[in-house]
Amino acid sequence: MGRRWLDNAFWTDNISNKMAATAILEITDDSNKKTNQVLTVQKVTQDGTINPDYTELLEQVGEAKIDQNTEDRRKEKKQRIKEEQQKREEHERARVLEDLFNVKLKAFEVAEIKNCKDRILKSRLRKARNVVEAQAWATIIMMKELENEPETK
Amino acid sequence: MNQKPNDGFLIVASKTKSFYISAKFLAESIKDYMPDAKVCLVVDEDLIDDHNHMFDHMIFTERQDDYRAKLWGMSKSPFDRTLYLDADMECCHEDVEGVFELLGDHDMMFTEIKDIQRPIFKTSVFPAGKFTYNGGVCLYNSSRSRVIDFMYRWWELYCLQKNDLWWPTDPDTGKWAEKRYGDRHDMKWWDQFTLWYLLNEDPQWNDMSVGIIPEGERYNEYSLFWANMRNEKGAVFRHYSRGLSKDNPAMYTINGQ
Repeated sequence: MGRRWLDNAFWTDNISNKMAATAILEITDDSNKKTNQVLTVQKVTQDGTINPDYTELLEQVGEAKIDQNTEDRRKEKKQRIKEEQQKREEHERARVLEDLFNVKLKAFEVAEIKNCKDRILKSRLRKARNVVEAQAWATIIMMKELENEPETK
Repeated sequence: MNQKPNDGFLIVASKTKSFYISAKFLAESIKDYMPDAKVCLVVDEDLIDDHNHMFDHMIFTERQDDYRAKLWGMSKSPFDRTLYLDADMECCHEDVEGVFELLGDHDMMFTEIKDIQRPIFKTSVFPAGKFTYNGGVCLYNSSRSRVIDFMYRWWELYCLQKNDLWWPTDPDTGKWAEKRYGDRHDMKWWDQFTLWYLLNEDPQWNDMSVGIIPEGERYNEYSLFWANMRNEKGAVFRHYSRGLSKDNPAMYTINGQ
């Protein structure tokens, strides 16, 4: 029977405090079967003495390696958060573009806009860069069409 | 202006009204930047309304309700050089004027499927190869009868594939070669597979000169991948692959119109 700490341990709290580490303990039983336990290893036990697991972890893996693992994890996490943020922004931008496209399609199915002969105004509506601009041009076209309608009694 | 008298754009609208509505928008947007452009619409007759002045040619499909009527439509181009565009696109740049010159002496050109787009091209990688050409935009020399024959064969073979009447066979077993080409049932909806097969496995077509449109991301900029496909020069055609409510034509019905 044996036990060893895997070398991917990292500081659970602050890298400068080093009061606790998260580590995987690999235990090999008498039939050579291996099991892994993920543990949070506190530096100090409840009675105020140094935790022997903590001492063993530092002896086997080394403080410098745990520092490096902690720093690598921090960088990875920062990168992951950045990528997720970028992805959210891309999806949002795509949604905005698609919504704008659908607003324009709908606008051009409104009879007054569809039948308007003013190509320049219709082109402005097609080229609108956001929904507000599109709605404004749609309104202008409709007002112009209403002005051109023969007055009703 | 690099347009020859008989260059033109071809759009296909079949099955749902939203394709027709979007096709009208696309045609008008092309003419915003290229007023002399010629646009042909291949369409199911029952989809059209009387507001279709933006099309210089209209060809009615022979079979209604065909999702891939585009392949049939591409073989019917009235132009000498044709740019086929998916209906759910818009033109947004004056560089559209130079698009036909990109063809050079090629028979056909496509935009390239980028790795970032692969999630929407499910099964695009399979044991024998991978899809390279995005069929959403196709620039082709429609004055060459061989190219037109290819387009028609593409459509024919796709129809057979979709209806489970064709799938490449394994020469050793005589059975359909699932191991080489992937799951037939997943793949059968893809006109991409038929295109890949004809160009890569059918010796009858190995003389076809097929190219990739340079700066293809400008000519087929997917709104969905806007951030990763953006070219600083600006998109010439933007593709709303997810934006169009393809199966919800009622969305475009306003006050019963």
